Amino acid sequence: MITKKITWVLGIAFLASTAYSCKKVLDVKPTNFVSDEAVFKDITLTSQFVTNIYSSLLSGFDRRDAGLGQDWSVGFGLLDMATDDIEAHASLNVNLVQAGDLNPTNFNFGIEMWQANYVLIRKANTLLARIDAVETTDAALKARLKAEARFLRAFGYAELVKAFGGVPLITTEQMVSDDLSVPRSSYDECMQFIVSECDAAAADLPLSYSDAELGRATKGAAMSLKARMLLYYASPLNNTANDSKRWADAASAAKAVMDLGVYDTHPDYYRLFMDKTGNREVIFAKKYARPGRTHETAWKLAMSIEAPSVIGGAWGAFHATQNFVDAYEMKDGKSITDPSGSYNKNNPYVNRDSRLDKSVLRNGSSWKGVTVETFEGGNANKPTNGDRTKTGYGLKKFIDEKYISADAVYQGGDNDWIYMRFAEILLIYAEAQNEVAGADGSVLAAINRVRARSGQPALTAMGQSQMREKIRNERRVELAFEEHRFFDVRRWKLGTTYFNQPVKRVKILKNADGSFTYTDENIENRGYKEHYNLLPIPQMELERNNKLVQNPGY
Amino acid sequence: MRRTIQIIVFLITSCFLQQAVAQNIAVNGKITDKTGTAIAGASVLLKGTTTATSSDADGNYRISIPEKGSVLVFSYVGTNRQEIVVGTNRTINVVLEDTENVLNDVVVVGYGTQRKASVTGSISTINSKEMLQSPVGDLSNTLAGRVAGVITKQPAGEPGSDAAQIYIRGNSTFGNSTMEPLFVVDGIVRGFRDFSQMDPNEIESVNILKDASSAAIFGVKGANGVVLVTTKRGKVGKLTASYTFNYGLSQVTRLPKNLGSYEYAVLFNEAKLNDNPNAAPEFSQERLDGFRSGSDRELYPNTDWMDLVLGGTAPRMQHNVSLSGGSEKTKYFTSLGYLNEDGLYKSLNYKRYNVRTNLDVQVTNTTRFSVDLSGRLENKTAPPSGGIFEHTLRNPPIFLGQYEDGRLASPGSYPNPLALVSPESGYNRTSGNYILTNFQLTQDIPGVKGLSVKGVMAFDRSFTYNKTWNTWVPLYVKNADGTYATTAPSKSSLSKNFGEAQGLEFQGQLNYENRFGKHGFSALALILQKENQNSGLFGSRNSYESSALELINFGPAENEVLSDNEDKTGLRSAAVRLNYDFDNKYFVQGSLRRDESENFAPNKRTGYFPAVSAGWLVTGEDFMKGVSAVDYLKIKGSYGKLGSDRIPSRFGYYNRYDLVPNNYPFGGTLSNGLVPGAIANPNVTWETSTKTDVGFETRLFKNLIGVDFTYFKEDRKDILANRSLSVPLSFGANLPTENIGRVTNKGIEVVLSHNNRISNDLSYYVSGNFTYAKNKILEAAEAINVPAGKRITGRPNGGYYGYKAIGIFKDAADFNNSPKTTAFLATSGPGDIKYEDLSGPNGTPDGVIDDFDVTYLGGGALPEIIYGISGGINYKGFEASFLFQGATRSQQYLTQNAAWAFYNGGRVTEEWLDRWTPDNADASLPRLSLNSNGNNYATSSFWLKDATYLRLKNVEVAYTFKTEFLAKLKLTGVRVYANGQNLFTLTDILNVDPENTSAIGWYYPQQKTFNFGLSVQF
Repeated sequence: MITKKITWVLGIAFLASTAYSCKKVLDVKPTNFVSDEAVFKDITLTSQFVTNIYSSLLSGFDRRDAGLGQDWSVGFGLLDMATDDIEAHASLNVNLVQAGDLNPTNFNFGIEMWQANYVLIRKANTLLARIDAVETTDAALKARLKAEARFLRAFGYAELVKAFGGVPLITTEQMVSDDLSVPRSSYDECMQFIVSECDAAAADLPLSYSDAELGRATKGAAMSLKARMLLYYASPLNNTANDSKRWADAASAAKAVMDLGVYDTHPDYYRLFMDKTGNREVIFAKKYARPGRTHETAWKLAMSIEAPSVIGGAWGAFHATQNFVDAYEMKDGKSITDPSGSYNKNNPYVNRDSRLDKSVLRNGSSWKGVTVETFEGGNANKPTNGDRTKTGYGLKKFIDEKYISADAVYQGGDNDWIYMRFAEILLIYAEAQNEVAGADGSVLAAINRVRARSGQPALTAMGQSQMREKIRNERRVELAFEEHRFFDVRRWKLGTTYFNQPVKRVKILKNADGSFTYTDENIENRGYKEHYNLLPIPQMELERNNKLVQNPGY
Repeated sequence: MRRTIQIIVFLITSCFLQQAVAQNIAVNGKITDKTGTAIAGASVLLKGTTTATSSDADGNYRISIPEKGSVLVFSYVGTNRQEIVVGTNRTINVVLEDTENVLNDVVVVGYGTQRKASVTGSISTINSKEMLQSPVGDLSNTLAGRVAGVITKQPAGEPGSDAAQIYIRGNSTFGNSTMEPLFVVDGIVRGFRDFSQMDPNEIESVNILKDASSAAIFGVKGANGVVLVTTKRGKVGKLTASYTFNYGLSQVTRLPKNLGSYEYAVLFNEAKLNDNPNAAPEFSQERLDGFRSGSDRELYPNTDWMDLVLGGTAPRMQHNVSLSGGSEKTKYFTSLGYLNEDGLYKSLNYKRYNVRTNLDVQVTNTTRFSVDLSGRLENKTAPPSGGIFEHTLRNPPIFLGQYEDGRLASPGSYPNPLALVSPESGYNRTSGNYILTNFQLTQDIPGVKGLSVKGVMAFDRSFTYNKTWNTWVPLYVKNADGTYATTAPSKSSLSKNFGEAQGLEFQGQLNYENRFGKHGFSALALILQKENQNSGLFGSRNSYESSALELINFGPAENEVLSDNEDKTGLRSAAVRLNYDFDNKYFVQGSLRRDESENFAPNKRTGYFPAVSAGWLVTGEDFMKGVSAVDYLKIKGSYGKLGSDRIPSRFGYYNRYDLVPNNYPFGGTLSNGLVPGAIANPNVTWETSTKTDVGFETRLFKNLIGVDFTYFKEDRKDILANRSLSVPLSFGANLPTENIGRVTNKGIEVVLSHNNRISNDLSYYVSGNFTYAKNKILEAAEAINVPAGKRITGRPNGGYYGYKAIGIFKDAADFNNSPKTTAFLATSGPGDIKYEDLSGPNGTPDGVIDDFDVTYLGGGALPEIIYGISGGINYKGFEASFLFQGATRSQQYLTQNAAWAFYNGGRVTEEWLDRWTPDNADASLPRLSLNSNGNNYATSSFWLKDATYLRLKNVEVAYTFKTEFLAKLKLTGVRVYANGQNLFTLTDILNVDPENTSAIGWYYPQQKTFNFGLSVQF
C-alpha cells in the first residue's frame, strides 16, 4: 500500500516536473501562415505574392457603396452612378453625390479608391523592395514579376491621380516607425512617375501569355495605361495652356499600341464582356472565376423583374437614365434630335444603334425569354416591387444571361471587368489626334473602326470641333458604364454642362390596343460644382496626415 | 495503458465497496436544525481522522469511535459546525445552527479554498439553488442580477445560442481585445461554453473573483475577472438519488408593433407625396378600401410577419438524474442531464446531454485521489439560410405570406421568411461532443503538519461537426384563373465542417496550512503548463443537380470550396501565494504569478503578476465586544497587477503571409495567392491591468442586516489595439497589434441584505446589489487632427457619436431660420430633424450642420449602472422568491428597419402614427419619406435610445412535501415548483428588447419562460 502510494506521488511529481521543464510547450510555430523570411526566399511563394497584388485591383464590380469594411455593400455601385448616365437605387449612398453634394466624408467610392489603391501600391512596393534577394536561376521570371509589380503600382497611382490630382508618391515599403505623413506630390510629378514606370514595365513585359496565364500585365497593358494617362494629361482639366505637344504624345502613345498588332475589336459588343479566351479586344482586365472569385453584379445591379417562373431575385441598384438612352444614334448615324431623322418617340427603340440593346434592358427587351415590361404596372415596374425600375431602364451590359437563374444569381457572376480594351485605345487616338491635326484620315479610321463593329455607319470628313463632339458621344456610348464617363466629363471640364442637368425617366403607359405612350419626366435635379472635377481627399486621411492639403473648394 | 485501465476499473468498482473500519464504541443520535426539523446528509467526522458518516433522511446517524474523549465534528452546508467531545453518553443529539455569521463559511478561491472571514479580496458567490431557479439553457444567463459587479447583456434568445455577454466590473479594454472573463471549473481553466452549457444540477457554487488579489493567481489570464465553478461531490452517507423534471414554455419578451396594411398604405402614399408632391399615389383608393375592409385577404393581405415567424410558443424540457453518496474511502457524485429546447419555428431545436461523475478516493490516510469525468453532447438543428430576421423584420404587411391552402406565397421581390424557416428548406445541423477530465492526486506529507502536494492532470477532447443542406422551397403566385405558378427552382447546396480539439494541462501544487498559536499561515506554490491544439476541415459544393443524396461528392466539383486549418497554443506558469493572519483579526495575503505565453515573441513572453491584500476583522477586537449592534465588520483592501494576453490574431511578432487558395484567377483558373497579413510587431505583449480595491463587509443587529461596500479602480495599460486611428490609409498595410491603449475604470459595488426568521416556520429575506462602473479612454493613439467633438480620448469606451438632434422643424419659418445640413439641402424641409450647430471650421457655430457638428452623444451600450433586487419567503414547506434586475445609463442606437419607416421597402412600426405633418407640428417623429439617405437618417441622437430597464428576471414558488406517506414510498422529499425568467420588463425603448445589441434589429428575440418542475429525492 505504502509503496503504491509513493509510486503515485513520484509518478505525478515526475510527470509534472518533466512536463514543466520541457521547453517544447512554448515552442509553437505558426501552422496556418508563412513568414516573410520564407516568402522572399522562394520564387514560387514570391510569385504567389505577386498573384495577390492582382487581387487588390479595385474594379467596378467591387465598389463598396456603404464605405470601408462594409463588405456586404461590395458590388452595389458603379462609379458611373455619380454621372448623368445612371440613377441609383434610393437606398444607395451614392445618391448624395448624384444630388449634388460631394464632400470629404460622403463619397464612399472615393474614400475606397484612396484606400484600396494604396493597399495595392504597398504590396507592389514590398515586392520591389524584396525581390532582388530572392534566389532563383530564372532571371527572366524575376524580371517579369518585377515589371508586373511596377505596372500594377503605376496602375494604382493612375487611378488615384485621375480622381484626386497629385497624391503622396510612396515608392518604398514604409515601416510603422517611418514618418507616415507624406505630402502630396504635384500632378506633374505623379504623371511623370506613371509614364516612366509604364515605359520601364513595358520593356520587361511580354506581348502576350499562354491562355493559362491570361490576366497578367502585358507590354500592351503598360503602353495603354501610358496612352490613357497622357490623354488625361493633355485634357482641358490638366492642360490649361492647351499645350498641343501633350495631345501629340497621347496620340503617339495610342498609336504605338495600335501598331503592336496584337489587338482587335471583338465582333460582338455584348459577348465582348463575357468571352474570356480568344478575346483580342481585352488589354487589361480584373479576372473573376467561380467559385470564390465572383462578383454580385448579376443580382445587385441587375433589373428586378417579377417573372417568377424564370428569373431569380435581383435588387436593381442600377437604372439607366433617359438622358443616357437619348445619346444613342439612330442606326443610320443620325442623332435622335436630327429633324431629318426617323426617330419616333412612341416607338423609340427601333432602328437605334445596336449597342443600346446590348447595354440596357428597356420596355420590350427580351431577357431570359421574358419580355421586359417597364410600362406602368409591367413586370419590371409593379408597385409591389420595391426595387422596380426608376427610369424605365435596367442593366444588360456585363450581365451574362447564364447568371440569371435563382441559384446562379447568388453564386455570383465571373465575367471579367475590363479596364482597358482596344476600342478605348482607338478612341484615345482619335481624340488626341483630332486635337493635334483635326479630323484627319487616321482619326476617321480609328473612330470608324469602333463604330463598324456595332454596325454604325462610318463618319466622313468634318471639322475639328464637330469631330470632338462625335468622339465625346462615341465614348459615352461605346464605353458606357465602364467608369470612363465619371472622369471624361471632369477632364473635359464639362461637369456643369452634363452633371447639372435634371435626369429623366421615361413614363410608359400601355394603351388598350397594346401600343405604348412614352413620356419623359424629370426624376431628379442634379447638382455639380466646378471644384468637383477633383475628388476631395478623404477627411479621415486629412486627420491622420498633417501634411496633406485638401483640393480647392472643399 | 493497461495499467491505466486497471486503475480506472479499480476506481469504478471501489465506489461500490463499503469499506469496513475497525470499530470500538458506537455513538448515535439525531441531527436537527433549531426548528427541530431533521437534517439529512449532515456530516459527522471523527476529528483528526478520515472516519466519517452522515445523517440519514430522519437526521439519524451512527458512528464508531475508538475511545472516550474522541471529538466528533458535525457540519452541514449553511450551518455552523459543532465539535463535541464524546463522554459517557453514547447518544448525542445535535442542533446545528444556521450560519448567519459568515465567520466559518468556506469559499472557493483560485486553486484552493479559504475561510470567508479570512478573504481579503472581492469574491461574490452564487449558490446552486440560485443557479437552478432560472429556466435557461445557457448558464451565463443565471448570473444576471444575482451579485454585485457582474454586468450582463443577453443579445439574443435562440436555443443553444442565447449566451449573455459577461463584463466583470465593466469594460476596460478596446481594439483587438475582449472582456470575456476567465472560466475555471474545479481548478482547470475551461472555455466559456464549457461553463455555460453545464447542467446546473452539477454545480455546487459559482464564485466570481473580481479584484486583483483574488484573480492575480491567474496572472496573464486574470485581468477580466474569473468565474470559478465548483461542481458537486459525493458526501459520506448512503446513496441519495434525485430526479428533477422541468417543463417550460418560452415566448419572445417583446415584438415590435407593426402597422397593418391599411395604415401602411396610407402612410406610404403620404411618404411618396412628401418626396415628390407631383407623384401619383402608390395605393389607389380601391386598394386602400380593400386593405381596410379585409374582405379578400389574398388580394389585400394584412400579414403580420413578426407574429407569423416569431409569435409562437416554444416548449422546453429538462431532465436530470443524480446519484451521490459514499463511504469514508470512496465518495461519488454522478449526474445525467438532458435538455431539449424548441425554437419559435419548427426547424429549430437544441438538445444537450450532460454527464458528470466526480469520484473521490481516500487511497490511504494521507492520500486522496479524485477523478472528474464530464462530457456533453450538443445537437442543434437550425434553418440552413440566414436572413430570417432581416426579412421577417422588413417585409411589409401588404404582401401575402401564405395562401388559404397553406401554399407559401411569393411576397413581391423579397424572400418569404416562412420559406426560410420551413423544414423543407433544408437544415443546418451542428453537433459537438466534449469530453473533459480532471485527475487530482493529493498527498499529505507525513511529518509536516498541514503540508501536502498535489498533482493535477486535465485532458480534454472535443469533436464538432456541422452539415448544412440548403434546398429550394417553392413559392407560389396565384394566376387570374386560380391556378398557381411557382418560382424558378434553385439548386441545392451542401457544406460540411469537421473540427477537433484537444487540451492537456498539468499542475503541480504544494499546499501548506497551519496555525501556531495566534499566527495562522497558509501557502500555495503552483506550477502549470497547458497545451491546446485544434484542427478543422471544411468542404462545400453547390448547384446540386439532384437532391437525392446529401453528400459532398454528389455535387458538381466546379463550385467546390475546401479549406483546412490547424492551430496550437501553449502556456507555462508558476505561482506562489502566502496568507498570514494574526489572531484571526488581521489578515494579509500576497501572491505572485509568472506566465509565459507563446502569443508573444520569446523575449516578450514572460510576465510577473504580483498582488497584495489586507483585511482587518474589526469585530474581532475587544473594544467591539460592547458594540452589540455590530456582529461582524471587516475592512479590506487589495492592490495588484494582472494581465490579458487575448490577442485574436496570434504570432503578431511575425510578418505574416496567409496562403489563400483561389486568390486570383489567371486564365480562368484560380491560383493560390500569398496575402500579407498584419506587419510584424516584435514588441507586442500582454495588457497590464492594475487594480485597486477597498471596502468593508458588515452584519448588524443580530445578523438581521448586512451591508457590503467596495470601491474599485482599474488602470489598464498597453491595451492591444492598432493605430488605425492615426496611421494614414496611404500606409497601405494591415497594422500590427500594438500595446497602445489605456483605459481607467472606476466604480462601486453595494450589497444590502436583510434576513429574518420570524418564527420557526416563517422566514424571509430581501437583498439588493448595485454596481456602478464608469470607464474613460486615456489613450487610443488617435489622429492629431480629429475634431474635438469626435475624439474618443477622454470619453467612455464604446461611446456614440453623431449630430445632436434638437427636435423637428415645425414649419417653414423654423426650417428657414435654423442651421441645416449641407448634405441634404435639396431634399430637406419642415418636418425633418433639426440638429444643433455646435461648431465650424473656426471652432464656432457657422450656421451649417456638417462634420464639425458631430459630437459625443453618450457612453454606449454597456450599462454604467446595473442592479438586482431579490427576496424570498419560506413558510413551512412553502417558498417563494423573486429577482428583479435592472440597468441604466446605457443606450441603443437603432437604425434601418429597427427604427425607420419604409426602410429598404420595409415595414412601419406603430409609433410612426405620430409623425410630423403640417397639422401635427409637434409630432414625436419626423415626416415620412421613402428615401433613407436624407437629413433624418444621419447618425444623430434622434435614433439613440435610452435602454434603461427593470425586469422581473426570475420568480419561483415552490412547495416541498415531507410526509410519512412519502417516507413509506422511500421518498425523502418531493418538491414541486413553478418559476419563470424575464417575466415582465419595464422600459421606454420601443420595439426591441432593452438588452438587444443589434442596431438593425436582426436577432432572435430574448425569451420569457414559464416553467414547471418537480424534484424528487430518494
